[in-house]
Amino acid sequence: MRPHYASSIANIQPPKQQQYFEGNRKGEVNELKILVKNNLSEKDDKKKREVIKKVIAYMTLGIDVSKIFPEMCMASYTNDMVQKKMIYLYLTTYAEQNKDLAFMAISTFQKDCKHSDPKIRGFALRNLCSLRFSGAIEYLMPAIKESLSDIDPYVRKTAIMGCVKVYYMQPDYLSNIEEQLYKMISDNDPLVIINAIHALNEVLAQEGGMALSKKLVDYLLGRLKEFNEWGQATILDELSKYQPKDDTEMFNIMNLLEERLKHSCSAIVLAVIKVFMNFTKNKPQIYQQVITRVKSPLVTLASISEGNFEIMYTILCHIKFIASKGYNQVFAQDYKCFYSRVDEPTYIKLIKLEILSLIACDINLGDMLNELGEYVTDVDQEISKKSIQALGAIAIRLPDLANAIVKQLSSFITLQDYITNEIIIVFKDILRKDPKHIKDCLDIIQSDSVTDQNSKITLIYILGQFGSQIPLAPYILQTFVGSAEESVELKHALLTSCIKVFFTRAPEMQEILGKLFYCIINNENEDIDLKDRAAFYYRALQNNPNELKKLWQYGIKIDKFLEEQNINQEALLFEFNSLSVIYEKNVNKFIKSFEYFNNLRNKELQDQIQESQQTTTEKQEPIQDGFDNEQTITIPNTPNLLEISNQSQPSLTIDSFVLDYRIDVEYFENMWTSLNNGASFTRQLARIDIANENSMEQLFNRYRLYNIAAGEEDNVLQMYFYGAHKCQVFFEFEINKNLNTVLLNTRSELEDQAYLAQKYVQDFLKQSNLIS
Amino acid sequence: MFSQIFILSPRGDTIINRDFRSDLPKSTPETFFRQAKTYSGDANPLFTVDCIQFAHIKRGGLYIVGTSRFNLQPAMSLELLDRLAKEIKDFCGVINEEVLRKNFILIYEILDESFDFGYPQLMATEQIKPLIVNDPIQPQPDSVMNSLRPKIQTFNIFVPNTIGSQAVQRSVLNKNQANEIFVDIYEKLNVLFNSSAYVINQSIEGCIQMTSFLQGNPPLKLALNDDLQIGRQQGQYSAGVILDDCNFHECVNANELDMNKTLRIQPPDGQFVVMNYRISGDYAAPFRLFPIIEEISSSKIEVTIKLKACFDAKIIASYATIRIPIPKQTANAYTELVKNAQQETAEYDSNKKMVEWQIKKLNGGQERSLKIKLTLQATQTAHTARKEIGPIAMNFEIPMFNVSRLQIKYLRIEERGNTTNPHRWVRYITQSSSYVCRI
Repeated sequence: MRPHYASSIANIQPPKQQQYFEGNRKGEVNELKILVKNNLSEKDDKKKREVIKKVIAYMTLGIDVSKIFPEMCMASYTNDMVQKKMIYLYLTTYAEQNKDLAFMAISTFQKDCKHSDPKIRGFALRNLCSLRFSGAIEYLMPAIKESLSDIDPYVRKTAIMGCVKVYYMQPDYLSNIEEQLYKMISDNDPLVIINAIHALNEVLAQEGGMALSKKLVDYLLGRLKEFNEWGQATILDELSKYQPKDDTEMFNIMNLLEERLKHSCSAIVLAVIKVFMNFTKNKPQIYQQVITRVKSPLVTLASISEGNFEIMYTILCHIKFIASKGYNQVFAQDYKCFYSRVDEPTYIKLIKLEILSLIACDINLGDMLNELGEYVTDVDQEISKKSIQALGAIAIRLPDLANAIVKQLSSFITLQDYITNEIIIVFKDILRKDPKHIKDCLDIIQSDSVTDQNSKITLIYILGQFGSQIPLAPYILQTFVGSAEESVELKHALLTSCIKVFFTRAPEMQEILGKLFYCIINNENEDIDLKDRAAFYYRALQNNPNELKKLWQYGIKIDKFLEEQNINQEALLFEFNSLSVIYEKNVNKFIKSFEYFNNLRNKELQDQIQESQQTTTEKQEPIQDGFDNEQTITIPNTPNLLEISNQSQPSLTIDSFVLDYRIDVEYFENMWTSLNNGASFTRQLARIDIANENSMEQLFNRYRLYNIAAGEEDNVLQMYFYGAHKCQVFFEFEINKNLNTVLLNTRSELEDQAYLAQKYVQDFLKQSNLIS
Repeated sequence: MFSQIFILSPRGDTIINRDFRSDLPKSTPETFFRQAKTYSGDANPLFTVDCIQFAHIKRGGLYIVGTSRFNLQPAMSLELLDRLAKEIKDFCGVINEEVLRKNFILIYEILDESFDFGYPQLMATEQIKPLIVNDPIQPQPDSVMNSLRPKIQTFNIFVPNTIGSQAVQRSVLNKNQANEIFVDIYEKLNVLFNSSAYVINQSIEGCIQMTSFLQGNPPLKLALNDDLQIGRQQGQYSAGVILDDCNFHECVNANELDMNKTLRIQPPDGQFVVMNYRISGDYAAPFRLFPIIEEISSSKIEVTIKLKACFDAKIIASYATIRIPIPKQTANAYTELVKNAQQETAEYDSNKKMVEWQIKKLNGGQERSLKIKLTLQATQTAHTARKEIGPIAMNFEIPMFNVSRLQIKYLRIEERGNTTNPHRWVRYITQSSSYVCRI
């Protein structure tokens, strides 16, 4: 997780502090705070930039650096644009959490909003408007109002976006802004116009967005080519909501837009198609012509898209959508464009297979069946399964071909299990539609290589339904009877199928059915529902088998199949060029209101504030000049502090330690140097009166930890202690009276014991009030 | 429009994270990465989780992701992310994790000029250039990442491997740069042979791509073949170059294309694709593959593959790689190249059950061959196992060669002013897209 560049700027930190710096984010943020603070007096812009860059790096990593807010506010009084840009990015990100402090920054923003350079004016305004807290509004509105009539378009377009930002904070402040926004649509600058359109659509969302008059449409279309790709796509999307007064107007607009279909930007092409479709949706003949006309540009985008598979995917989704609405014939000639290529990602291959199965018809069938057959043996299982499904879908849609497809699929019998599993499922649907194909399915049904749970259930269903025509049916069913691992669903299916076959082939089935009843009814752990069903059938058979047989041989003839209705009713409501087409879901299934997300966001924010409050109350952090790592706890080799404390390990008591444990100096030295640092902490010294060698030795002695070496130099007292409970523990203890700190390093053969021992020492140091 | 835009490393670390509208949870990068990892291959470019819409593209292994709570225009959102990726490339020279980490402040700058409150703003490189204050930091030239030759199956298919691309991989912010323009005609071939070396399907997808470092963005005039024809009538044969269909970049005026075969271009800075085209007609495939499979015994199979380069002897194809999948039940496989084979290797990967045959350089007119001797495990017979051999897929790149014969007659820089005549570099590159031979 550590950023790459950390090493390049590491030399800014004094080397002494380096050791506290590792693996501890809280410590790092504190470090950073000091760095930024010291940075304020730094003269060299290059060095200043590096420090601020580091703050942004932390922010990007998701580390909460909101604590540095006051320092960053101070730093914002700079003329260096490089720093300013970074600082503003920081301020806008954390203003939400630091409402009270954010006022400090506002004056800088305000000053920059009046700068002579329009680039700086626009930039400051954009950021000022992004300060997301309600108190800012009073400062915002005057700045926005002024900027809306700035001479520079860069500032004007920024001001319009500012209106939208205000709308989401305090909509009341924007009274009558619509009028001004409508006026700005006649601005000279295309980007100002586009932003005004976006703004109107957001502000007037409840009334259905911007109102389009004929005059406005003519005006926008006249200037269409002045806009960049996204602008054009936006205007075209607006246009699709417009209803031309008469056919002449409609054809005029369509003729004007036709050459845009040659654009390489898919956003424009799809937006034009949407306009065409919406204009002609009540005129079937023209609609058909539109579809024919847009085919070629769509196929071109779907095959090239500058190697951009993502866009290719989107186009393919739209082609599938058009084909599934009953226009599959339009793409029939171009079937070869939908063959998979080796360099395509799976998601492209899968959607191409769906399109192929939709557009299969007389003119392309021969080639296509061969091609789909090739995909069945693809190394990618997903492709293989999908191609089997595609073949099945064609067989159901075109009954004349079902026979050929069943035979083709049967030829894959000896290959992988997953192929057989999928083929069985496809066969079930084909057989439901037309039972006459059963003869050609026998090879697969009796192949004994069905392994998947769903496929097994499907197989059992087929055996039950067509038992009289499958010679081995009773014996295949027999293999499932009494097997303990099978699921309840499978047993239900098995029960049904066994009874069905029993009615047609009683002599063969009698024993098998009997065994099945026995297994189910006598199994104590069996599913109650299944047991009940089995018992019910059992008694019914005993009582009057013929009556039961009559009940089972119902004569319902099925003549409507869902698969046949290839027009998805719901799909008719999908809006072209929207995510509905991609997800194949109605818009209300995946879009939620602003309020819904706002609540989520607020909750998230509250959690965060609570969390940070908890940490600050737990450990009050005195901020001193120069040094601020008193609160730092560093535990090398145990990177996850939380995990350990969560384990609720037993804490050590004085009785855990061996009384009068003795070792010699040499042994201590050996152990100390051979062990890794297990745990350590640094605390602020609270009581100076007992901070001397003697009282410390006494204190540790009382807790059965023994001194082995001690020394004092330049007001720094250093002592070494040891002790033993389950294992030996060794301590380095330091009181620095210059810095008012207490430091403890703990080492042990068992690392988690070092941590416990450290807690133990920390506790008694607290009790003696040496540390707070 | 977009609520947030973030860029994640291949391992899911956040490199860039910009929240424009603050109307979605902050945990979206994790949500995205978790969902993306549920796909067996690459994730769908568009998906929804808990009513949050995610649109993403993958470039240089990085995920560039936009989120929204609106029912987006799908193509537009992906085009925007693609445009953003191109801007980053224009400013940083290349796009990869190292470069992005080094230049993250610059990328925030680009993001802030490109989007405001999630709506696209200035997105053309030359429009943003004057607003940018940070300088790009170039990656270490000797870094391991850069010295590795990219795999041919990169995400942006129009990246050549053979031609020294250092000149193109640079930032538009470089002030001392030469006044020059690069024009590339890339063609990607798609050929499908059946077992008797007969072509079942073939097509070409091509583009004219420019990378402009021209000062002052002067208008250009690009002339193509005189015999160029756009749109194919059913069953029509012609000696000329016929494109089935094509499309053009925003900056191109194609009104004179039918008459004079010329395009008028108002070039932006950096890289852009002038024109895309596709050709479905017959053409002479540059390579022919002849596989022969023999069942030596019930457990031994011998596969011989002959490769013939059917183009002019002056032209040299490079990095030809041929992959031959062999049966899963293979116990052992030996590969045999012709004696004294140079710059040629053949390796059997027992995990993937694949033989990979690499030929570094191959002159037109030459022939090569490879023999694979397979021994099967006892559980399968040669007769059923042979079905699992293939299809053979080939990758290659042929510089200074194009199949369609589409050519640039001239590229004229109009309104040149007083500056020296800028350099114009024209290159032709042909690559395989899907070059497959079935057995």
